[in-house]
Amino acid sequence: MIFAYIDPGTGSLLVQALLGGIAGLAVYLKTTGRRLFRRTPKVETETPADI
Amino acid sequence: MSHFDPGSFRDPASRVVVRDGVVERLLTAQGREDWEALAASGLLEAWKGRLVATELGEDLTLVHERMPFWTYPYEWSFGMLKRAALFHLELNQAALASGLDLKDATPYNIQFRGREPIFVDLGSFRPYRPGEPWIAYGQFCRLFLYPLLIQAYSGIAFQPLLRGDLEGIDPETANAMLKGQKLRPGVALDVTMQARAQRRVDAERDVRHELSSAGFKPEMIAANLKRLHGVISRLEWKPEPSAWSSYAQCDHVASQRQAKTEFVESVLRHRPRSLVWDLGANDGHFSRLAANHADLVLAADADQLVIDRLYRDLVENGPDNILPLVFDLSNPSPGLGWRGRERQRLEDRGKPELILLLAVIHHLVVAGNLPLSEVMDWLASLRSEIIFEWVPPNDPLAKRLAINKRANEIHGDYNEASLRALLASNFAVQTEKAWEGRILFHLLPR
Repeated sequence: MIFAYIDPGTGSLLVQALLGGIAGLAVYLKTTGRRLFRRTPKVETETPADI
Repeated sequence: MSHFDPGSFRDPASRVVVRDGVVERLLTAQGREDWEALAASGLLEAWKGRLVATELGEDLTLVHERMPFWTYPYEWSFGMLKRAALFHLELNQAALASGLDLKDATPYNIQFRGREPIFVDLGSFRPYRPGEPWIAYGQFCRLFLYPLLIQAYSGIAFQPLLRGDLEGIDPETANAMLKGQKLRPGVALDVTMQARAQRRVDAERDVRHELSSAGFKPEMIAANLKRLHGVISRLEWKPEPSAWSSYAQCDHVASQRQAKTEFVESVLRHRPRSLVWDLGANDGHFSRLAANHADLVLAADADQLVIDRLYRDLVENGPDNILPLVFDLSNPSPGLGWRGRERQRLEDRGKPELILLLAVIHHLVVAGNLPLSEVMDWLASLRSEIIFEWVPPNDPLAKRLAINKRANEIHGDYNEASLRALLASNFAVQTEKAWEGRILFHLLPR
């Protein structure tokens, strides 16, 4: 963890970005890869490896 | 004799040591710098009586007042955790207004002195660094907000959850427990969005730095603290009546109270005691009697509803030297955390001078299936004076507890002859008084 002796949880910082208005929203969207309004993250389809 | 407090090791800047009963905080140079910022802020004076009383000692140390009895949030009722949460938010607001920041947000930094919360970790304060978000917000959610939301909205008691994980409830779990409550205040943003953001965040990014560059301001923290204060202020826990919530109104209780009160009073009047434990306190009738003759009374009961009611009554009417606790004697708080020593067993946090164990024994022996010898052995190990009420197996209430049990499912030593033998080997019986088949004993340790 890059934080001090408590782990603040990056999610909790992002919620504060949302509360922080336009500039914060930009950070939120950038950091979460603009997936704010999609319900589930896109899962890459894996190709089975050659045996 | 000196030892490090086994619960104090996480903060690199300060550590608590207990030396000959004196509580000292050892500071590093950084810790000293933070302390000086706190001392210069005026907060210590403005919050006098609500922060642990502290004096500057020698060689980078602080000397703290000693708390009369240490308790943990998994022993508090809903109303107590709510009070502690609001107290923390108010303190954080005051700190921010004085240019300070609290580096954590945990109820373990708060102790109840009777009914009043006291903030004990002065090592938490440090100068606020411009551009920083509220670093401890996530911790505040896990240890204060989510437990309260889950109990208020979903009716799930938070104590077993906090006892199960000292870090509190994570956003994903809270989100699952609050399914169907999404439209209620605090849930969508603090729980669901946080859980989602945590899931989707790109671990490579330094969000803290990015927020700072985007111009994060302390006003945003202040607004968040105010918003959370509003959400928590409105939370109510509205439980169904419990098995114990109308105990004092029961006929048998009312008729026995007079006789018991006289006996208990006569023992209490002997001399003042420092610490009294009232185990199975219910509405706190006997705790109140004891509070007139003691520095502090722990009023413990396994039923959160009666403890929450007692707490609210104490806030309104006093006295201020009763500390209510949600505590199940048949499953007491264990040692928890790092090496099982970070949070201590009840017995390790201070020995009582006097224990009240009134109308409890049949619950332990019949409902809890504890051998009588075990209970008396545990009581003897505390080396305290005890007021003990014997409830025999043929007592109507003991019979009611046994209604779904076969005779051989209750330990064979639950009878008066065994009790007498156990008392003779463990205690000196000072006085006893019998009525309606029950017996009150005043016991001294042998």
